[in-house]
Amino acid sequence: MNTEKTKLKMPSIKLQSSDEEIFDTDIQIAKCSGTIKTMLEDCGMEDDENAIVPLPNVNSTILRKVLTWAHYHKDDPQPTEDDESKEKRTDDIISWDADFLKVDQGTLFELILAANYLDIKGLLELTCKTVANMIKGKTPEEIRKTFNIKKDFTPAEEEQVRKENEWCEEK
Amino acid sequence: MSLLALAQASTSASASTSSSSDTELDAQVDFSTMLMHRQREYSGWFGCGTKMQPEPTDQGYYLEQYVLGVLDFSSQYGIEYSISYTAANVVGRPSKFPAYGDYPETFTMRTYGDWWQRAPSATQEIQPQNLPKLATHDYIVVYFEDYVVPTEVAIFETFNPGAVIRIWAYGLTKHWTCLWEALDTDLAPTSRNSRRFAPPLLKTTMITKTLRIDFNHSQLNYYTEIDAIMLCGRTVSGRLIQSILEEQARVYKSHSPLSKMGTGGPISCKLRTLKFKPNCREKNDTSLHEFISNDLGKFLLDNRQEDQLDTPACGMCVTDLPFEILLKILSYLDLQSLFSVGRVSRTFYDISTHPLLYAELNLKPYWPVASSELLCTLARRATMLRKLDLSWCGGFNEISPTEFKKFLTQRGDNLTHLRLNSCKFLNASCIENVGIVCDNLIGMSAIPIVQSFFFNLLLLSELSLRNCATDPPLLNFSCLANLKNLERLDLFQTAFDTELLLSMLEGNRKLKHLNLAFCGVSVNMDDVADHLATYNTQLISLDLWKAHFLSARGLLAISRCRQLEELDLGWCLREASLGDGLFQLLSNCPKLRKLFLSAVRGTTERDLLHIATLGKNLEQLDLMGILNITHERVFDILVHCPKLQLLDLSFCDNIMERDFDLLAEWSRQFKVDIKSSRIFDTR
Repeated sequence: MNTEKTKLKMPSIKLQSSDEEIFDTDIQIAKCSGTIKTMLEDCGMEDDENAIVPLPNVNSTILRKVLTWAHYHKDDPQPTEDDESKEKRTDDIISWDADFLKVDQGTLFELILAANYLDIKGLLELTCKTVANMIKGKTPEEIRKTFNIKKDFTPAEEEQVRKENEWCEEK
Repeated sequence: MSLLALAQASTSASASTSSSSDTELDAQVDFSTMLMHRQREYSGWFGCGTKMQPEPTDQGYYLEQYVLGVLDFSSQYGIEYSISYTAANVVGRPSKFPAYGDYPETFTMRTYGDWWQRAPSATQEIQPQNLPKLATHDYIVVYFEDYVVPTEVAIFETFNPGAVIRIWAYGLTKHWTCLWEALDTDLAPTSRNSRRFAPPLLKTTMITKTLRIDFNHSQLNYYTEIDAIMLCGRTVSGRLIQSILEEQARVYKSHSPLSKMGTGGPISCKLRTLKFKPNCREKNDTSLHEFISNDLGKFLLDNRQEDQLDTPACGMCVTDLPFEILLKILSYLDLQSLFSVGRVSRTFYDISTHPLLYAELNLKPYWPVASSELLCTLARRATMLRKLDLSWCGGFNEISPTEFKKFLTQRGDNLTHLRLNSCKFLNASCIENVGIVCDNLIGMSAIPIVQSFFFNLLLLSELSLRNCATDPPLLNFSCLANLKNLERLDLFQTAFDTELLLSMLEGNRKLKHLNLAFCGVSVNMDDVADHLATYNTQLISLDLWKAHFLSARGLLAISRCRQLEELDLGWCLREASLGDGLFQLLSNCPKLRKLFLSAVRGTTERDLLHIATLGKNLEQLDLMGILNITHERVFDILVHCPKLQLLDLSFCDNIMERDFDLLAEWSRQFKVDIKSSRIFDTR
């Protein structure tokens, strides 16, 4: 890592959202996105102060949020391969992140898409866990209400699923 | 459903027809002895005629009873044929309560604190999202003489109380009910006094004589000890029990009325999802008529309203997310929530049944509900299964050996981890007829089932069969000899055949962790040790707790496994001289982090000096019951083993009463948790 270099020069780059807003961003923060990191490295844009990185899949509202999150988490240790297999916990969300994600569902889902597109592992995990927590422990009807989903089973299908679920239904 | 109501509703319960039908499920066999017993009682009371019945006003009486027998337990400190620290000590009245202290006459489990999770042999839970907040580390299942409607369960804790986290009762209707569950705030260490622990129970009308107590050791300062368990409640008349059994039999015979209900059209489906239950037991026609004329309109209106409960559209819907992201979201769900998601809609059903979500399965947390049916469903979904934990499942024949065999045949091909701790169905074909009132859970004809289980599990790297069979080895697991890739083999409390074990050691050169604690008298540990030294030099952890026939020769052989980080020799070797075995071990295995020498009384003062000079990486050291240790030697060890965290000096008789204050001070000074026999320890 060339953290030494970035500290000295504090270089920034320009990110362009789908609605053509330009975000002047510390390279170090922008690079928490695997996508941007690869782009910079592959296209040799690292030293070019005026280069503009187009992000046609992220609008300015979402990109602003993503960068806020990245700024707060810029000093997080890099996640290792091991962690992924180890922890499926969803009760380890820190309060800053929980507050950060007090948004409507549409925004939450767009954040997920952005984190996926930009390849920001930490944010993708956080947002997916948040959605998982909205499902955990709920009845099917409660889940439907939470996400505004219509039940579209035929009676026969529903009966089949009900049977498969018999073991975990209230006795 | 209220059992009492159910029983009263069944009108023609006759005490003379208990043998109802030969085609009964084994369910009935479980209770047949008891019923016959009851019948005899009644015919006795009423002189002759079997048609005579006690009045239905038989209300029962309040009964306090102690444990009659132990059905199952996950671990115990003592060895099975000993009377010290074994599960059987919970039988009967308290023998020590209200005294407080470390008494061999009680039930003690194998672990305390989180030391075992910090040791090199610690394992990760499979599918950890399934675990409840307070995980169960150990359990015991006990039964009592008489069925009661439980009002109180009292647990007599005579040493380090506070590990009980759940109390379960097994009902007449063959379901487990959780009568009480601790909150995580309840787990704070309690005072050093004995305790009659009787938490407020769930108000219930269930009828039980079988309890399971769950323990969580994480907050324990030392082993917890249980003196007795009392079950209190109102007795139930034999007639009532019988009518419940008959009702249940009827339910079984009609192949569950629920499934019949299921074949209805959309309206009955809707009714069911709304849990709509018109009270029309007595006059079906009238009630239904009334409902149709008065309430149907309102019902349909409610119904429509519910469907129109569309919250305002908010840009994206969860189903707009790409498949792989939905998959990732669902991967954080516990199995029960995952199944709930499957009932939401077709899309969600399809995602929630994706094989990737079933690559690692842990049914241990669902032991009360895991069944053959669930296994059958999972077999369809888990086509990419790699890790499976069925520990604790299948008690009381909820999982049939046949279903398990089918499951493994279908899905075992890619299995790398298999944990079947305390799985009674492994030899269940023989206990099917024994039932819940019998404590002899080990049968005779298990071998034919087991032999074909393992032939296709060639990729297996972890096999855990803790507590699966006792002495003599009924399971000879001979097909296990095919396994070549084992890195972990856990046979804790499972009797095993020496020859098979030796050939397995020879075959599995990559073995890293081996647990043979309590493995029975048939295994010659010196031979095992020789094999380990020859074939398994990659070994990292070895647990020989209470193993037999280990001598200085075996110890010397073990010391040739130079990668060892953990060695438990508790209660091995006993009075035998160790020769320079410990010296060799300590000099050859510099990575040693955990060394348990509990009651290895041949340990000399010289050995203790070696520990101090060579045990640079030691973190956990158990010298319990070693007589040669003085406070000077303790000081040496504390000074020279900088990584030490745990030092057990209980029952070290050369450490005098007057030394205890010194030890307490050293404990603080060196930041080492020192355990000693003094009960009023400052920590």
